[in-house]
Amino acid sequence: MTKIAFRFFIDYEKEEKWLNEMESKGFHFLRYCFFFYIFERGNPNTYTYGIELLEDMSHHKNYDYLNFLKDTDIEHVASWARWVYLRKRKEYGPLNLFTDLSSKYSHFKRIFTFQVCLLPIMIASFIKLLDLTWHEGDFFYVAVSVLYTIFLIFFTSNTIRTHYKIKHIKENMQIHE
Amino acid sequence: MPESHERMALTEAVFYILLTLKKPLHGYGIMQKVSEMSGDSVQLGSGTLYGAINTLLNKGWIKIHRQEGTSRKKKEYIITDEGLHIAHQELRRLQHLTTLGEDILGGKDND
Repeated sequence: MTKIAFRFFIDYEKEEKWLNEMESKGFHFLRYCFFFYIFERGNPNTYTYGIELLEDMSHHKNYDYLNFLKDTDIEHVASWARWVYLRKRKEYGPLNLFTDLSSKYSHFKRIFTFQVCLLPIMIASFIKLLDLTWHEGDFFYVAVSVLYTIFLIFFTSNTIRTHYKIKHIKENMQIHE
Repeated sequence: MPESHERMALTEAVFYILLTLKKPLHGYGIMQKVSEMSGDSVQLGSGTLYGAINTLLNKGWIKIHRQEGTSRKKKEYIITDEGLHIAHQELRRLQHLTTLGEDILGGKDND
């Protein structure tokens, strides 16, 4: 039996938390496509889910990395752009991806770069949308503009949050490993 | 003390990995050995370990010992002579620090 859920996440840590909450209710995440999450019914508390933004664009290197994860009992469930959804059976222990400051730092740095690169595209489309709304002026465009504005505010604040996370880790790196 | 081109402290993860690789091990084996050696206090994350292994391979401190089959890319790694040298150097650095720490904090002449 499968279940489909529609959700929209800007913060990947919240998404990860939600997937694990769904798991504890007996829904095992399987696929993601444009805000739709497909789950399969299963025993709760079987898996821990994790999300990572891969470092490389190269398929060969990603294949090598995902193979390495497989050898450490971490299963690759689904992909979306450079994001990967991973899971590990709880009986094999906790799902640890990054356990030191420097690897945590590079992961957040990767996410930050990813977000910053998306910002100009989003702002450009926002300006275009405002322009259209101004000239067309009908309810549909106004509604879309409002929604997009809310989205842009959340997205930007999340990018700023990522920046502060990086800053916090960097401060810690001066005294800890 | 032989001077090397690098006189920087190793990270805990790297030092542990070098120690475990005195005998050939694959990635999963390294993780198990590290947690066993540290009495479960050090758990290496898969992503952290993968990054460290690649850096150590590039530096030539460890090398691939054996690669099983072709379909399943399970590689075994082992420490190189250079890696051993680095580990010894780190050991001396740590010994120096513990001696110093014991002398100063050890309580013989607390003022």
